[in-house]
Amino acid sequence: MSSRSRRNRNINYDSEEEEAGPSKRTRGRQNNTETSRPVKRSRREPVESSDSSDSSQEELNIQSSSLADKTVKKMSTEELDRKVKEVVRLALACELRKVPLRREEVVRKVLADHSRAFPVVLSKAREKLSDIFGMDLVEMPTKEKPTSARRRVTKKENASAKSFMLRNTLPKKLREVNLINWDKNQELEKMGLLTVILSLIHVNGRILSDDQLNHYFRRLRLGDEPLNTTKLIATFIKQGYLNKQKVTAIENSRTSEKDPVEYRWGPRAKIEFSESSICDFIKGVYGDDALPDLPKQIERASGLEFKM
Amino acid sequence: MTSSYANAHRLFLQASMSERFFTETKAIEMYKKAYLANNVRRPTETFQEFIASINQKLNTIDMEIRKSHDETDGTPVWALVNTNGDEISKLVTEYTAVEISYFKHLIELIVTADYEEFSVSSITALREASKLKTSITKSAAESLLQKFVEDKWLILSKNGKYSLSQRAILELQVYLKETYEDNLIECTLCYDIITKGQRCDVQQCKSRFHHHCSRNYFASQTEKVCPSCKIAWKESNVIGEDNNNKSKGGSSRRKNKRATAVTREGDEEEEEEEEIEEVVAEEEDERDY
Repeated sequence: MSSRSRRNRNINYDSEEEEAGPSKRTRGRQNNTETSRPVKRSRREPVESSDSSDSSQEELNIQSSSLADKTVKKMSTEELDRKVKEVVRLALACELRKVPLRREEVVRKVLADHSRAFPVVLSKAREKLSDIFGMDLVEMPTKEKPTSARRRVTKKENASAKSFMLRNTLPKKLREVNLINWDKNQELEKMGLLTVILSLIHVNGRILSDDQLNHYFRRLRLGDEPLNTTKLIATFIKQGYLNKQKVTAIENSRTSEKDPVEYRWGPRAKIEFSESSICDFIKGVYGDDALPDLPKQIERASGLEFKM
Repeated sequence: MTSSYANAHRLFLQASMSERFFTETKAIEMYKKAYLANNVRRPTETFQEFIASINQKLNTIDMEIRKSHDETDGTPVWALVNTNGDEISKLVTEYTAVEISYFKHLIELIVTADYEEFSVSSITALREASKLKTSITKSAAESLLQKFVEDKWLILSKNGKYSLSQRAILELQVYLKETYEDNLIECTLCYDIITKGQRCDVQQCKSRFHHHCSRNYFASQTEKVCPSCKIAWKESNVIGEDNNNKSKGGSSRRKNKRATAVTREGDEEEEEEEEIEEVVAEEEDERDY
C-alpha cells in the first residue's frame, strides 16, 4: 500500500469522523452489512485500486445468487426481456449525456417491485450492450472521498449509490479509426483540454491543487476564451472526469496554506483514459524532443504505486 | 442468422451514435471504413445487408437505423432512431427540460400551422418563449433557436421561417405521429411524413407529393396529372412555407391553435369541440367546391 493512498484513507476516516450523522460513510458499519441480506452485502467496499471492471465482474457473479434468482423466476421471460431492454436504453441515454447510470435510477425507472432482480437484469443488459455495441457497462470506482453531492445519495443506502457507465470494448486499433464524430459542441476542444488537465494531474503525483491548475492555465493562456475553463471544470466534475476535494488539515500541513481544493482523476477518467494513453499523449507533446527515458520520468512524477 | 455480426457492425453503430443523423454518402463511407478498420478489404455484406444485420440487433432494443429523403432536395439520409416513444427515449437528448418544452411548443406551432404551411415565423417563435411555464428571455430563445438549427432539428429559411428538419421528422416520428395524428399528412407516393412538397390543385383531393417523389413519379408518366383525380398537376402548388393555399381559400386547419398536446392534458372536451369545428369547416369547403 502506498504512502499516498494510506494518507488518503486517513483523510477519509478523518472527514467521516467530522461528519457523524446520517451522511456518514459506512466504512465502520461495513461489518453489520456483511451479515445482512445478500444483496446488501455485495455493496462495494471502497476500492483500493481502480481496476473496477474485474472486481465488479466478480461481484456480479456473487450477486446473481439465490435471492436474485428467485425474484427473476417470478418474472416471465417477456418481462425480463423488457426490463433488460429498458436498462440498455437507459444506459445509452445516460452515456449520451455523460451522466452516470445510478442503480437507484434503474430500480426506480425500470425494475420497480423487482429491485432484487437487479444483478440478473444488469448482467443480461451487459451481454446485450457488448453484443450489439461493443460496449461494456462497468461500475464506476468510488475510491475517493465522496463529494458532497454523492454524500447525499449515500445517505439512503449504500447499495443504491452504485453507479455505472459504458466503456468501449472494441480493440484499441478500431477505436482510433477516425469514424466517430467529435466535432459537435466543441467536443474535440473540450476533450483536448481535459487530456491536458489529466496529464498535469498525473505528472504532479496524481494531485493538483487549484492554485497549481490556475497557474498552468495562465501559462497556457487559457481563461474564459475560447473555452470557459471554470465552467468546463465544473462540467468535468459533474461528468465524473475530475474529482474535486477540499484539503483537510493534515494535508494542509504539507502544502501551502492557501490551497483550498485539489483535483484528482475522477471515476470516468479512470475508465475512459489509461495511464499509457496519457503517457502517449505526453510523448506526443514532446514529439521528436522526447528523451528515451521520458516514460520513466512520467512514472516517477506520478508516484510509482498507482496501477491502472 | 446474424453470425456475420462483427466488430465492423459495432464500429459503424458507434459512429452512428455519435452522428445520429447523416447522409447516405457518409453512411456508405462509414460502412467501408468500418470494414477496412477490421482489415477486411472486401465487405462480406452489401451495404443493405449490413444495415439489415444491424437493424436486426437494434430491433431488440426498440431502435433502428432508418432511411429517409431530405424534403428540400431529396438527398437520401439515415438516422439512428428510437422506435418507441417511451419516457426513457425522451431522455436521449442533450437539452434541458425547459429547452425541450420550448422545442415542443415550436413543434406544435409548426405542425398545426394553417394552410399546410408547416412553418413558423421567427417573430412568432420568439413570442412563444414568453408563454412557457418557465419562460425564457428573448435573447435566450434566440440563441436556443440558433442551436436547434445548428443541431439540425430545425431549418431556418431565407424568409425567416422555421420548419422541421429531416432529422426531426425522422427521429421524432413516433412522438409526432402519436401527438399530432390529425395534423400530419403523408406523401401519397412514399407514405413518409410530408411538410414540404406539392399538392393537388383540387382542394378536396388528398394527393401530396414530396418534390423529389414528384420528380421521380412524373419522370415515368406520360401525362402530368394527379393520380387520383386526373386534374393537371401544377408544381407551383406547394405545401410548406409561403404557399398560396390561403389565397385559394384553403381550410384553416385549426381554429384554436393553442389547445393541443403540449397543453392538452385534461381538456378533452375542448378537443372534441375543435374536431366538430373542423368537420364544419370541411363541409363548408365541400359546398364551395
